[in-house]
Amino acid sequence: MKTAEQEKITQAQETCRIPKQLALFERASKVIPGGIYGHIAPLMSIPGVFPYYTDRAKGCHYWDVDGNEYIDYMCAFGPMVLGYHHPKVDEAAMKQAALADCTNHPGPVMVELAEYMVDMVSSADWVLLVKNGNDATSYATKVARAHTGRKKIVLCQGHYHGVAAWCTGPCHAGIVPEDHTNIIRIPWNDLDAFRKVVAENKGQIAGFMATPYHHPTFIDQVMPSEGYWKGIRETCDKEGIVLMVDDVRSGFRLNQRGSDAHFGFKADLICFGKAMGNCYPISACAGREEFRIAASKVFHTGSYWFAAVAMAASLACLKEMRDGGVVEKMNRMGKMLGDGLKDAARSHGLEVIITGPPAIPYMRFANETDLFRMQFFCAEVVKRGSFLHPHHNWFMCAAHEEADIRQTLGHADDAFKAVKEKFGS
Amino acid sequence: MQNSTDMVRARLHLGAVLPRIAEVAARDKAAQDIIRGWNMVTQFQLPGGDPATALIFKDGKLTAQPGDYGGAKVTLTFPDAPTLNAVFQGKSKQQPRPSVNAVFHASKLKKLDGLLARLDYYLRPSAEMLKDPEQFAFVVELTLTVLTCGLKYVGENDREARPVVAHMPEGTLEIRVPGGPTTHIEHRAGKFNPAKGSAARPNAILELRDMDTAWRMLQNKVDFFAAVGLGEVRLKGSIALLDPISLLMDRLDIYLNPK
Repeated sequence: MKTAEQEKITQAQETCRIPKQLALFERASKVIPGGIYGHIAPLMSIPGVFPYYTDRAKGCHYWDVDGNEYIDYMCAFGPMVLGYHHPKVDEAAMKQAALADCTNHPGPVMVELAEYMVDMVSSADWVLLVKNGNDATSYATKVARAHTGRKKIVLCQGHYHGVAAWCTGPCHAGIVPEDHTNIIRIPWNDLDAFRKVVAENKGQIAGFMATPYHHPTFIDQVMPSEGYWKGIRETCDKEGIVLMVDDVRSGFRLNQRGSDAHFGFKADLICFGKAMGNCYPISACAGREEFRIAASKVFHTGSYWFAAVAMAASLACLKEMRDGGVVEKMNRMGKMLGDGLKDAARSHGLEVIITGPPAIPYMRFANETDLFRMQFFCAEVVKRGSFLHPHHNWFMCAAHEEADIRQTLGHADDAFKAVKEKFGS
Repeated sequence: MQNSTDMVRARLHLGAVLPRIAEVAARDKAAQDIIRGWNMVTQFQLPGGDPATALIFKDGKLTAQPGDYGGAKVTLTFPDAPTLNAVFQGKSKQQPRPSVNAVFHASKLKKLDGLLARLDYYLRPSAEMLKDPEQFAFVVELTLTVLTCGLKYVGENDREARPVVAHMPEGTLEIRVPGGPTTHIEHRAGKFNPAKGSAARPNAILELRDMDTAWRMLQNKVDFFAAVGLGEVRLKGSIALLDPISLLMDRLDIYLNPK
């Protein structure tokens, strides 16, 4: 005998496109807080329309548990960069798995990967390998404090560095004001604001951390203004402040040497994740020579940080990216997608704004900021088989081919028509 | 002191909770019987008149007006915020100090406790009351209004919420239950304007599937992420506006339901 509540859920499942996933989610909600938590929670997308659970994936395509296929423009929210199940990466991982993964000691591949990154990354004289981006950003702040003997860290408003207490926004559950005692937030792209807090906190600021460009959720991305990073670099040098770049999201999608190289400056510490392992769990903090001693003194570890499979996968991934012209291809495909979307919108009398680098685009309708159209548009596109997110920047990957983009533009054309019919403009 | 925890809580009690007595008086016969024929203005307040809320009785009707009432009135002044809060939380029966002119309304003022008890009756409903669909619907509506109005006082006064509000986009959030109550709250430059009913052009919508879901949410008994995934709660529009308001709701719960 079903309760009224269960009956409602059953009815909803029968009329929707993801009935098996809703049933799975219902089970999940009983044993997992939130059902699915964090950035991939249904709450962040369009619940009831967007897929909840993945069945399988290959290249830039994946299939949900109900059998719906998608061309993927979120790429696991960044980690997939070469395509799911890339043969060279998977082969390297399997080869290492057959030898050893998580044991008492790291494998030789740890040294090989670190050497490769030091050779490849512009500002890396050393590398420390971790699991998630937040492991790397938290480590970087400790290195900055250890190096300078100072407490305060300056961040930019709206920049995401992970979910540790120091970088989670105020008032979130479990966060207390004291977690931010030594955190100062300033507006992005505001060199004067940085100089002002430096002057007001002379000799107290250990480091400044920012993403290489502004990539918030819900609103447009903003590239660094002319002279911004040069000015930040100069001020940091003058005041003995450690310049930390959180390149977790954009790293290796703008430039294989790191996004600081892309924007023409050198970070003191730079954090990578996502694209460096093609979905294998690995991240890194790289740094310049003068921070090596402080880096060596910071105690930072984790049970799985030395697992060798992800390191082997990462090495294969980075080699493929370096040798395969991947950055150029992702940006070319991203431009084709962006231009095509603008044209398709225009053909229906609509205008869309696309911001950020072509490989990491963010789209919204020009005549709204509250995203009603965007949510409707993305739901329509998802129903037709392309996975575009309404609130978050998208990610291109090397597996996207022109045929995929053309297919998605066809989905988008239908969706723009639906937007026009529903909203009028 | 001005925005201490006790003072924010006092603002909430006077600004978001007490005014609901007008909605109770509009439907509750016991309350109507008490105020029949009353013509006076009674202002509950802290010393100095900030915060304050005036109850305006006119020909048996009652309206409530948060803020200092400009005209002639009887004032009932609590000595301090903790005392006021204790009274509103049912932990104290200490009477506020009446102004001198209260002597002219002494018989009515004696009945004020009985009137306020009717508010308490609906805001702390019995299990029996919740089984009656009509009573339940009113309780949900009343509590939703307390929440919506409470967001104003937390958003404008809570020190911990200040950085959240400082970066919150301007716009209007509508909270609605299809076939049930709707409220909305507008945010402009750090100031909040709550109201009952639909918004003309909401920037974000929080839709609760039914009254049961609404009541569970108002009791802080909903796993919000799971409820959204299951379709019990729907979010549309500016998540950038919804997200900080959900943080304010958490702060509001801390004030109204201290552990």
